[in-house]
Amino acid sequence: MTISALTIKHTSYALPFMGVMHAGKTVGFPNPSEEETHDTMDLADLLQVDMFASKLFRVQGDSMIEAGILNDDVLLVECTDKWKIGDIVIAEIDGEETVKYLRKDNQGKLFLEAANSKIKPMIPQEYLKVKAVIKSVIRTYG
Amino acid sequence: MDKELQCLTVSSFRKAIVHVDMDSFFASCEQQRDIKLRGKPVCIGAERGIATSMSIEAKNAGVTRGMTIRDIKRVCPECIILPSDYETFGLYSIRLFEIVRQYSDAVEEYSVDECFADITSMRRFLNMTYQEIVENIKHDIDVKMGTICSVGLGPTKTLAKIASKWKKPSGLTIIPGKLAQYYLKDLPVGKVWGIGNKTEEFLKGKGIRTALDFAYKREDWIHANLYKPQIETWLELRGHAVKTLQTEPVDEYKSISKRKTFTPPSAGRDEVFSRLCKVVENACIKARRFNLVSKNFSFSIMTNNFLHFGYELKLERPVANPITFITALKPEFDRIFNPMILYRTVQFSMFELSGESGQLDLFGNGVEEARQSTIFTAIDDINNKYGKHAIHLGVTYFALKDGDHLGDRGHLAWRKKPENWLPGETKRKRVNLPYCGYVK
Repeated sequence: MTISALTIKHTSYALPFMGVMHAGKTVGFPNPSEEETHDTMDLADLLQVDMFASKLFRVQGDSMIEAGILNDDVLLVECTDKWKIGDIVIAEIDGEETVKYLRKDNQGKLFLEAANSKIKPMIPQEYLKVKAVIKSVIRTYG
Repeated sequence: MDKELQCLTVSSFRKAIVHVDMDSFFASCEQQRDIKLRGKPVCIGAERGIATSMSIEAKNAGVTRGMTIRDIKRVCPECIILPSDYETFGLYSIRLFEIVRQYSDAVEEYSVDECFADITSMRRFLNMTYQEIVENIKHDIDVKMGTICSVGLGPTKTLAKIASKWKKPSGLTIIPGKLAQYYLKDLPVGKVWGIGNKTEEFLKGKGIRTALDFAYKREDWIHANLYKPQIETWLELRGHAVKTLQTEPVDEYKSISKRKTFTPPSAGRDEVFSRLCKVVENACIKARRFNLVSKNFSFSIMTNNFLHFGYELKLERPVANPITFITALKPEFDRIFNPMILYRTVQFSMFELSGESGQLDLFGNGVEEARQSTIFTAIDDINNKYGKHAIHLGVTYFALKDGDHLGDRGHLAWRKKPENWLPGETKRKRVNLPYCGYVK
């Protein structure tokens, strides 16, 4: 296998951190000597995601529009069983996979809720299984 | 109730070796990508024309590894047959090893979907019992990968492998050395890792049918009748961990072998030769990457009826230059090639690889080869930058032009189709995370 674990861990996601950018001006403009002393951090660390448990999905439709997730956005998700109520999750519900808010009703039963007032909550008829938690949304422009 | 069986060893875990074996690995990776495939019979291998991996549902329907598409459709008409997506399978494979490495540094990547790990002395560090460690490994794989695996724990690699096979799919079996005899008593000796067909036949001839019969044999008998690998297996069954874990990635090869199957099969001399040259070129690329040369090599072409024709040849001087190999094998190829027969597989192997390029023969072809070696170093540099086969031999053009399978266009893996690329991805490069497509 030519893809090494190292590629995932260090090369691809290592970005030099150059200080905070303000619109119109740079704070802490990098000079060469300073760059040497700057530590680099993984994009994975920045996003606080376990890259070896992560997958990508793409959004179809506007069911999560009020959560700022638009049609065609790329989702970085982490497969985990350590989810919390209120997380945006990828869940399997009655044979369908979907991205929604994870909610709990008064009886303590889990259900899914869209971030779109036009869409009704999804209450599982047979089963609901949380597969992954959304960690980041990637949107490219241009 | 069984009568009390004699123990093979007094200690349960002198060493603690885990074996993780993914169940239905390739099919399971595809089922993770697409929910519509879950719970259905799925086979991988459409581009080869045979099943290389089957989902549990397909196995239950009677589909076995190596079955042709026609047979699959006969035994299980609803079976979904998909092409292999080695890129995604590779990503999942790396995950498997990385998850296991969180519990021990000593991990042997045994194959794409199997690994061993030595967790001896990890109990205090992880603050877990051996049982908890293996339960956690299995849980992490199940949750983080979504695919299913079987895990075995034993005092040796051989016993760990028996443990992981004990209950499948999704099993977790622990074989302490003290109780190994109960797991070996009904296990046919041929099912033991490291016992091949010939050894099995030999042992059967001596009245040894089960793994326990074998393990109970006396040491003097074993040494008198068997060779080192089988003696090691015997020791391993008795709880002595003699097979060590190969935890370093392989950077030394004794031989390099490249083989390619293409569809549809062909009776075209130029086409088959071109495909053969491509595997020679690939083997040489790999040899050069590890700075190895060889003068002993073999090639073969396999007919559509699975008959092999080939030659083993020897060069004057070890090289890693495809032109030298191709020049040497061309006359033999012409001799065995029969235009009345359809061929489906080409194969090329280099043996007895060494790091030395040998003495330069100033009067022979040595100078020319030294010159070509400089050219190939430059070609490797260019190909490293622009992609494999950016510069290639003219003779392999045919093989590159059409891909390995005519279906490469019709049978393209889901991830390789342009409609399933993410922004910025190209035919050659895609992001190194599994992509599962659209979700509503």
